[in-house]
Amino acid sequence: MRFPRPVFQRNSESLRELLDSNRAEEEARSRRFQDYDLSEFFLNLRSRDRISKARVKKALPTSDEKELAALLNRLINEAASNYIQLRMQWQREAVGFLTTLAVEAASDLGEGSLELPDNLDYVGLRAEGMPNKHLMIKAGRVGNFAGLKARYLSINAASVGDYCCRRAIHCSIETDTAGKCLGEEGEDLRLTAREAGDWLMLKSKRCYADVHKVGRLAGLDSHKLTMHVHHTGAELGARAKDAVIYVYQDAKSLGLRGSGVIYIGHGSPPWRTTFRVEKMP
Amino acid sequence: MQYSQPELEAILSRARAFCGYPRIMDPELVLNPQSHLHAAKLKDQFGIWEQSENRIYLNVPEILGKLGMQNLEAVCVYQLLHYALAPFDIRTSLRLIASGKLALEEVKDKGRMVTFEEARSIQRLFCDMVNVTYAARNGMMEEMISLYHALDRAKGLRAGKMWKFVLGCFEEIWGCPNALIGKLPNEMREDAKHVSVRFLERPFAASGWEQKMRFLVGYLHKYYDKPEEMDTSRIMDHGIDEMRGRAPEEILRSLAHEMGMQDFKELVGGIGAGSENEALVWYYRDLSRRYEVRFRSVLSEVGEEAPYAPLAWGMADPFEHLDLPYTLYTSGKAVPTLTTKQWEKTRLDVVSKRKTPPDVIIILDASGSMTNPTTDVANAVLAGFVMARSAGNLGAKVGLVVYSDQQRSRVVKPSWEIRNVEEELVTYYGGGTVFPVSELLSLSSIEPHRPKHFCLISDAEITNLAEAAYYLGEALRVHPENSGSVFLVDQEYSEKAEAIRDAGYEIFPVSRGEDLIRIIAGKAQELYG
Repeated sequence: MRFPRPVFQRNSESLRELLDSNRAEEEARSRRFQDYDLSEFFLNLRSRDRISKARVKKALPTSDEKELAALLNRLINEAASNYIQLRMQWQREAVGFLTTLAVEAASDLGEGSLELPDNLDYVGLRAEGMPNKHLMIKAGRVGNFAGLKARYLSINAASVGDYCCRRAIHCSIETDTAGKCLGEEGEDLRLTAREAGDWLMLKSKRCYADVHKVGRLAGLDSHKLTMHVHHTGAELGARAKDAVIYVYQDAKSLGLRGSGVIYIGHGSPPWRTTFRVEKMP
Repeated sequence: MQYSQPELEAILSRARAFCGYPRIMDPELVLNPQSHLHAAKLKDQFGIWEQSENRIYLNVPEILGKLGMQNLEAVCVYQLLHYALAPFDIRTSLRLIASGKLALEEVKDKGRMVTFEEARSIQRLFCDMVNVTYAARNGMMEEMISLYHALDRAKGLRAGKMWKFVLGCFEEIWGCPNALIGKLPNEMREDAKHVSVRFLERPFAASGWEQKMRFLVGYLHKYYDKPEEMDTSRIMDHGIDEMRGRAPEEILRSLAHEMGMQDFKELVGGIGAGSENEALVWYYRDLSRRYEVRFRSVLSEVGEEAPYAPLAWGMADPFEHLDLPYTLYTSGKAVPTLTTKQWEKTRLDVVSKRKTPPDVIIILDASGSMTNPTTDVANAVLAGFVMARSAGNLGAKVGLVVYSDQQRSRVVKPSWEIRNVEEELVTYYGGGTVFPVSELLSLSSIEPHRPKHFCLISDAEITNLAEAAYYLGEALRVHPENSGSVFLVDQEYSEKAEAIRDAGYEIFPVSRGEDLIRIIAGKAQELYG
């Protein structure tokens, strides 16, 4: 847009006025950065449509990477301190996107992993790392939907909630306990856990899991799943294709219509199954 | 009152120069409003904007009587800046209105219902703030202070909280404490300070106005009970944000690239531009414009001569060989032999055959496994728009079958009326997927002398697959130039689609939804480009 040209004598071309207005704008910018809080973030973001990472980034008042990281940390902590008040899904998703931007900023600044407060949902939502530079998130307790549609993300936490790493690609999770449906429709995922819920790696492709105890229907509809497990729930590997599953102690039952091989400890009963069952020494 | 016509005209021309001569008709200074053509509208108003003429009429006696001669120039600048700076055009104002509405919902979640009228009033006030601040910061500070002083005097005791808050904001933004209103309640003064801090960060950059307006909404809503209070805090209307009898689709064009579908639908409904279905069609049409084929590339037949390299044209050469436009383009003047050009031509060896662009029959799956186009942007529907509009642009007919299960399918016979097809493309049924065999047969038998391209967009979870594959194959045999393609949504590979491939169709598996548009645009380019 072309601005109108001033025709009066006291015009903006006088150096003093230009300097004054520049200084005022600079002060306004720094004040805005200081005053920016979660309620203003939500005010800028409010929409009828789904929010996206680009829109969240656009709603933040800074483009400088260091300032951005500081602001994101401030907003995430503010959200975590009163998380129960964020009842609407879009608000929680927005906070999830904040964590994503924060971990990406931390990676760009070479800070390694990002430590997050406990119990946040949608952590690392659509986070995108690179094959040679995984994004790293550390937390005590991670809520539901962590790592949703993420790429090249690693999560290290004491526990993760349900539906984590859904539709994620090339991600890894190290945790003690994991909720249900972990890794649903994911590709090339790695999971290390003591205990995982039902439907582990549902419909996943080329995933790897090392879990002490899994729930029911682990590996349902998966492709090329590799799993090391000690205790399993019912219907292990149902309808899985080309699975390689090691069961070191006991399996409740093997799933129907699966293909691949199951290595199972001595002493387990003979199963009627479509898997090739091999006894481990 | 003493004023001369040349003096008034000088004031007007100075104001127009200050505003950079905005693209509207010259404003008219009405000296005798009672006998004017728009007397009824001008009564008790400082000025009006007449939409049929795109012209501002300023009621000079009213301005001079209530505000004084010294403020006439400031009033002219105030009004003209709307057309030069904010909102400048209707798209900017619509964007701001939509933003303001959403912000109002955010701050008034627990309060009364929020309307677009309220958001529009806020948008108008916001644009006033931008404009008068621009004038104040570019040499007209005294004039603007004087104008708002005069307005304050004219309001007298009728000045409400909103007016006081606006004056307080101006004091803070312009950096002239106590120049306009002076003492204000502490909370109001603090709010004005907050608004001014946010406002002063690049105030004239249109890209930041949406966020500024949302922020302003957060404070403004505290100071009015009725939205009309904001309108009375202004001097006059600019009319840019009114429909002005223009086609709504023209006004809303390109907004689809800037806002989500739900926001767009709500805006269309909120300003009364159209129904939900119309909004959907406009939205998808807007998005598809980026990908559609608009012109047919010029292909030459084998053996035809085509320009190869420019040569000098001399007086001995045939006059019809002279390329005068190219001559003038390259050197600016035609001096025979020195600057004049002709073309050396070469015979084409590339084999290319002109074909009649085939009509396209789009067979769109609207079952439950597909994305609902009314709630999310459905790539399948957008792909249908791209294909239909590309065919339509090149003069081919477009037919459509939207199907779900046997009882429910919608058919548009091949026609040049693309709008009929577009309106049906946004249909969604949900439910099961039974391929519409009888509809396909009836469409393929219409005008069998015209070649057709059958374009199936589906996830291939078809119940009657064997039957579908057979009849799709039969449809290809109606005309020797008939062809077909299947676009598999969200699938890398489908065994079911292989049956259709055997029937003579090209299969395009699409694992990422967003790729579908590019793939189908490529196909449209191949057919019509």
